[in-house]
Amino acid sequence: MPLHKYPPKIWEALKLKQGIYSRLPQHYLRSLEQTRPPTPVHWKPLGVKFRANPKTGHKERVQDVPIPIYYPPESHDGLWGGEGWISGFRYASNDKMSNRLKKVWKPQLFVRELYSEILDHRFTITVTARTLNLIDAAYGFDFYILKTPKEDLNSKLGMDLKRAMLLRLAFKDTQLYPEDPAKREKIYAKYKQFEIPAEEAEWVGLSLEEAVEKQRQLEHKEPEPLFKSCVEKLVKELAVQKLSEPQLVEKK
Amino acid sequence: MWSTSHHVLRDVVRELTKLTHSSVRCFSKTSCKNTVVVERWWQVPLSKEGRPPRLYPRRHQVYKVVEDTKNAPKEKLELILTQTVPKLGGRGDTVFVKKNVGRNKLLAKDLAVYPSPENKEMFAEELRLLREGKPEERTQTRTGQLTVEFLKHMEMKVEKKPSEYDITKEIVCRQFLTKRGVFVPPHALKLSEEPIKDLGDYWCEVTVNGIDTVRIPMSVVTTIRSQRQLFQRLPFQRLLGKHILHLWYLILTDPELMLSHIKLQQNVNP
Repeated sequence: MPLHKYPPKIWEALKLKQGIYSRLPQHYLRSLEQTRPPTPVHWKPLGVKFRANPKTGHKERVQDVPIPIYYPPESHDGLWGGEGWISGFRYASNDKMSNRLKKVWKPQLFVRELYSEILDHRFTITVTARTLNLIDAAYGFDFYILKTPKEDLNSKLGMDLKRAMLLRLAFKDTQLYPEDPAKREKIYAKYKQFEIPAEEAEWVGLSLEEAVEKQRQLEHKEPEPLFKSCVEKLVKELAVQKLSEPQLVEKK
Repeated sequence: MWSTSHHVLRDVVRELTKLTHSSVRCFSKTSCKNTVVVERWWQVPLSKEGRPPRLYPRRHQVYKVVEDTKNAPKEKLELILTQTVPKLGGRGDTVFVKKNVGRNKLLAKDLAVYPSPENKEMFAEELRLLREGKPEERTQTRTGQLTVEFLKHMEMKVEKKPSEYDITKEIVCRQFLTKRGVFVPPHALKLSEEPIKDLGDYWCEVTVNGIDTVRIPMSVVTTIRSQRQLFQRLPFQRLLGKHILHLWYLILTDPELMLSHIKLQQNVNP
């Protein structure tokens, strides 16, 4: 007799198939499943599966072992560009035979004002030097936010900005530069490639709890007073009764 | 379990520490906070395919720093200017600037844009209009304007040797290049229609970029080879060694003068 009906490892997946979780939109559930490992920032990946051993020269199988990085809660309030805290040890004066010392490597943070063209607003965000380089490589702050996937942005603020930008592009007639149609066309033409339908844009970057709450709000209905349903039922019954009575036609 | 007062205290402490380590503490006292690339000291044993590798924290969390980005050489940022910027260039120029200058001065104030393919196309179209568009629609470039200003205040002296020959366009162009450092292609230069043989004052017209024409007074004079002019050097010649070039010039022109020069040098530097 097995201990559980289903093995505990699939409990998380099963939970998403019942109750309100099953009623969440399909594209959102798919986006939750499609997680890929983030691009390595603090370690250099080998990239290949096989390589020649540097000492012996024979072919050997190798694997990339990622370094566990800690992302403090402040990282979700800013855009750290995939950087985080590396907590571990180091050897004193880089010598294997000397003392092992605790060490935490933290990124250098700057507070910068970044301007978004779509949202037409200056945001003061804590960024790292790597984030600014990534923004330059993507040819713009808006491009960086819209291009980088969720795992690489690694920040709630980043996903919220992405959601706001996609929503604004979806409702461009009403929200994107309502007073300036020429600028609206220019900006829209620039970011047209990232446009997605409004229903999907609403759910981009929401955490599971937020999505559940949103679904609950959508499904919420004011409870109908029992009086109304009783009155309707009574009216129907009376109508049926009236119709079933034979109609007396007076003979003249 | 956590009381509200504890929450408040924790938030206050967090705010205070945030303030202190950015404004009060000086750089030498703050701990290192940069982008580091680390690798493990000890190799992680290979696991079967499909399974994650097994890590032992005592062994596998000892790291050594491979690279620290703050020590890497600072790369320059490539931008395309949209307006005339002093010391950098005019509209449509691709410049390489330091990252802080580019981000805080140029991009923040809309003086430049990133060189994305779409932006490059836009500026290439502008350049194409300049070359192939109708003469009325073309606008003069910034460098073209500067050249026009420079040519307006210029007087040209064309040297002519005593032998009999006409002053042609090629001769005048060469003189422009050697004397003033201005390259004038023959199709942009217009001399008077009569052949110029005698000494005197004439006019010549130079067209800049096919848009503006400047009239420059030109006087034809005999070549004066003064002692000073003999040793007059073009800018590139000043880069080469003084004495070496001096000697070469003398060898080519006047061997006796060279020998007397060497004797003088020997007297000065025994």
